[in-house]
Amino acid sequence: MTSEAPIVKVESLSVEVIGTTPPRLAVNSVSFEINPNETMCLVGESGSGKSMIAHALIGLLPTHGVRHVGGKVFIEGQEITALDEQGLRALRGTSVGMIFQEPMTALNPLMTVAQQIDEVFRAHTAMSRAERYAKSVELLADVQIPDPATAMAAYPFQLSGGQRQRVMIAMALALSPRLLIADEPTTALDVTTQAQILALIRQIQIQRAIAVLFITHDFGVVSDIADRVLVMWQGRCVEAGTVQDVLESPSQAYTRKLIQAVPRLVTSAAQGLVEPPVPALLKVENLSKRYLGRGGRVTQALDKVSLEVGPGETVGLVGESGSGKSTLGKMAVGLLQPDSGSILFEGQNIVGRSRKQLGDVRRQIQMVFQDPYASLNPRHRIDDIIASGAIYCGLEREAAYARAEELLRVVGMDKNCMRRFPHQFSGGQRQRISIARALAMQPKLLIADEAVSALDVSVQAQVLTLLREIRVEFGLSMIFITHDLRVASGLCDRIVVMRAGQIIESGAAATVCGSPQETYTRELVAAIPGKRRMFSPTLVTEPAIIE
Amino acid sequence: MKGVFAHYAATKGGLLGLFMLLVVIVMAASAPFLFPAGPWEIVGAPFEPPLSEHLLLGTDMLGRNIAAAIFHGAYVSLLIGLVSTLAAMVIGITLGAVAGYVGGWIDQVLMGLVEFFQTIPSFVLAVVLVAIFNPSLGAIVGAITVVSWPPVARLVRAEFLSMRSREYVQAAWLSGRSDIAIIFKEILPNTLPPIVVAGSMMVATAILLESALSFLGLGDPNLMSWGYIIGASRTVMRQAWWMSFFPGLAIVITVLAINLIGEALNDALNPQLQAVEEGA
Amino acid sequence: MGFRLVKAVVVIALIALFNFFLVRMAPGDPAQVMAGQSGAADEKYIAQLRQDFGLDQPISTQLGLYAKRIVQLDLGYSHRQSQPVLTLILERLPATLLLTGSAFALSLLVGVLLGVWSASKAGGWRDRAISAAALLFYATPIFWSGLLLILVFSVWLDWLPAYGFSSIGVTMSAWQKVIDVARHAVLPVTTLALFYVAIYARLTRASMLEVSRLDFVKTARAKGLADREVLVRHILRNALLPIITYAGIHVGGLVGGSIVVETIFAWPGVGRLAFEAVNQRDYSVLLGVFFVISVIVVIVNLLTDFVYALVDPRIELT
Repeated sequence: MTSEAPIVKVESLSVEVIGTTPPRLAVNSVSFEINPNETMCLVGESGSGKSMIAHALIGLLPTHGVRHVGGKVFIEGQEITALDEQGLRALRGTSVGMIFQEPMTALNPLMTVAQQIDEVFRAHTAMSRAERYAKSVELLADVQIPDPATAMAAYPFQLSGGQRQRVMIAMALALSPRLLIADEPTTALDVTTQAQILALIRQIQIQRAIAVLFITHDFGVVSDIADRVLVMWQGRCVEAGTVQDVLESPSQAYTRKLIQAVPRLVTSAAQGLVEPPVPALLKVENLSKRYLGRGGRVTQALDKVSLEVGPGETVGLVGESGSGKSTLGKMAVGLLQPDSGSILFEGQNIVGRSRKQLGDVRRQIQMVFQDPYASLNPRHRIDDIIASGAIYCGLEREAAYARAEELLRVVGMDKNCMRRFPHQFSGGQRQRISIARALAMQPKLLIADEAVSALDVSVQAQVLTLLREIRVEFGLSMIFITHDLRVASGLCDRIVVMRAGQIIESGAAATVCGSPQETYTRELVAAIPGKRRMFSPTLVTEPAIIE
Repeated sequence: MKGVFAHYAATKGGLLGLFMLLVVIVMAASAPFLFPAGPWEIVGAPFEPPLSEHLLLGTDMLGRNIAAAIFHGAYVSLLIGLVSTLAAMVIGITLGAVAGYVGGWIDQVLMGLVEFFQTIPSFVLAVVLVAIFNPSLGAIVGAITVVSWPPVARLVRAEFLSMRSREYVQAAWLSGRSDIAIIFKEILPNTLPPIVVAGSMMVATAILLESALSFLGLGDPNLMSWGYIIGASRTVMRQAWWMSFFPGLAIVITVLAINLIGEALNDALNPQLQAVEEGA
Repeated sequence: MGFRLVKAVVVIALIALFNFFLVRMAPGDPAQVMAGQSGAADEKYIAQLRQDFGLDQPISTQLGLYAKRIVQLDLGYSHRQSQPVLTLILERLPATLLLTGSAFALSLLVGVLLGVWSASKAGGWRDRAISAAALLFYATPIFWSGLLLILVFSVWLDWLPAYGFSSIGVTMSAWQKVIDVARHAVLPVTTLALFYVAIYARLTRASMLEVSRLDFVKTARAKGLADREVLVRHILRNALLPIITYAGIHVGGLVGGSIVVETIFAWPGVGRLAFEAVNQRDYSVLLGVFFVISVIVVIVNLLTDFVYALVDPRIELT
């Protein structure tokens, strides 16, 4: 290693949340260094303060609500925390580049790509217009945008999420800064796109020998790109070290918990494979649906999709955005109607019939939704929410509330929560309540529509365990919809891979994940972050998922 | 609910607005006691300036008491404002909720209707309606209702549309709740805040509308309203500036009060809702 | 765009239809309504009207006659003023367009500027002062502020003329005439604009604040752009989008307000014409003005839609 000075030096940085008594520290005395040609990952769950640190480094702390109260930050020897706005502005884009999480909203929708990259040059250099244009095209080529000349004239809404993120990276690197800060840049992307962007960032870091500060919540990503790791929890640095040390021998219990909570791709048939018994509980036959968009564009949401779910079986529907998995789930539950095809539940076709016509059949298929914050009516109390379903099933009020209490116990919630409101609970707790609500209807088939995707990784593991318990206790069949192949492999008996409204591959979970037949499935498996390192025999010392 | 009141009480604007509105309501309520003879009674010489004898605000061209007119006018303005707003809200909420929840061709027809009414300049339409159906209390209330319901319907429809695809509404549907129960128990309570705020602002607009109509001479001839006094004062402004000044001031105070209340309500209800929905 | 044009034509047709039924919904005899109830019309004239409009014939025939008239731009005849309605309206239209056009432009310009200024110094005393003033003007009836402005600037200070379009009985050069009209226009335009300045100031402020919270503003700052550039190129550009939409929505109110303003300032426009028509119970004229004003609003809405599509690349122009 060279004896070059570190590019970033953070000394006891503290950021306080204004208006809290006693003063709450969003960032509590955090220190670290990043050397050139090194990628440092800040890992933590939501609320850990990792994003706040990134913003502090570039002087972009939100103007209201928080304030810098202690510590210093040095970038290339210059003290950031002592600079005024003008000084910071000279720094941004030239010494430090930053990219953000949501490519959808991070670019000005009214300006072309060319204009937005051009701005960076105009703000800091005296290049001529022709020079700026040429350099911009070069940048786009560097970030591997296909056909840079066309992309220059495009507006953000005309680009895909991955392309927009590449544009952002190009803008951040335009003036060859020595530090690139990436605040969860791949969290909102599809897993295959994520793999590409991660590879790109790593490549750029090596090529230009810059320092990269990468914020993430996914230890799989950490294992793929990090040289050094810093684990954050509630504003504090909990553990730090090289990626080797932290991953293989974490010293803190919290770190261990985070690492273990990362879902593993299960490729051996550890769970007994369930042969799809006859007759199937749910039989989907040739389901199709198309949407007409603006300008006559036709989207084929589902294209003659067929699948079966047997009693007691868990089937995973895995796909990226736009694959049609959610659409299929909503149709099974009756929230959407297909254009053609049939869905047979215990032999009865449930397509095209109203709730009244279906009678008792309707309640036997229930759903748990993705967004824990939108799944519960904010103005209703917990027991009312759960009991109302039971009442519909024909129970008397008293019996219904008793059932609600019982179900809350089953999902691991205290009966004290009965009279409370949803906003008093965390995301994970709300998902448990949502599960209890679904169970109140005594369904035979439970559809989980990305039910754990919005949860922190450690909470996610807990909810998955809960799902495993209840399916045994209540004899449920499940359709588990997710974009995360790892999660599906740990929970499901069979996996169905979907893409653009079609089924690409389906089979036993272990087979699909261990020896995928189709190219797309192989791409999905290959794109899983941390696959190489995290699933190596030396690392997996405990059974797949804990707690 | 307690949080809402606390929030509201914390806003100075809201308290000021409430106080001002209270003053106006007291004026309206006390009119028959302070000026039992009514506003049309001649009490003095024409064009007495304010602060002369017992005439606090002077007299008009016929010697009628301006103060009496203002106090009685308060009742008229508030009445018309409230009634027409209520009617417009009922119509707007019903149509908007149906359009937003049911969708389909009902929605298209309703939206076409709303768009049509919003393209026509509302004040001109109100003038035409009152003129054709002959000025009277009923005509004014009717005209104001007709031009006021479209924005409410639009707002309610937008709210219902966004709520309909909310996950807890879908969950309620899965739990077997009937459509009516969903509309009333799931959606409506969560859409109330913006509707309440819109309603309060609408009262202010209704009062402005009514005063403009009265100013043009389209008010009910038996009712003394603030707009009417100002309209009557137009030609004699040089001699009696107080005739136009004080009633106008009354309008400004009333409308300002209602707007302040509306804004304070907005601030008080929204963060509450946001906090509730985001689990803050 | 083609679709929007068709829609506009349909709306205009519907307005004409609406007019048609309005007259027939009024209490009393439609012929009397059309002739004006001032009693100046004699029996023979009313009978003539009845025949002309086919009022004793089935509705469908009446509708056909009406449609034919409208297409030929025949808006009826004013018995009171002894002229065709269309002539009356066309005579006065330029004055109204001058008034409302100026007020529209002025209120947008001043309102947006104040809103931008207010938002850029959000929370400061300037912001609070502008917000308070906006709140006040938003609560002020147009006719009252008009009267007060006359009182102060015309009667007491004698700086500006209060009534009319131009000075009568004075010979002036072309340039002097322009100045003269401008002087007469100051008070009425200001009166009409005051209310809408308040609206646009508040709208712009809210829009600016909302946009400044969006992610791409953070990106712009992270690139090291100067504050002013971020404000104008990123925040303002996006914040203006809803303002354009609102401008279209408020045109109706602006033109409607001309009725009141023209009455107060004796401005010779169609608004004043409408007021006179109301007083004289001259319903043909009133409905004619209503129709023409509505058409103007439809056209302006088309224009604002067009402008919006120009500015926002996400909206397709065709």
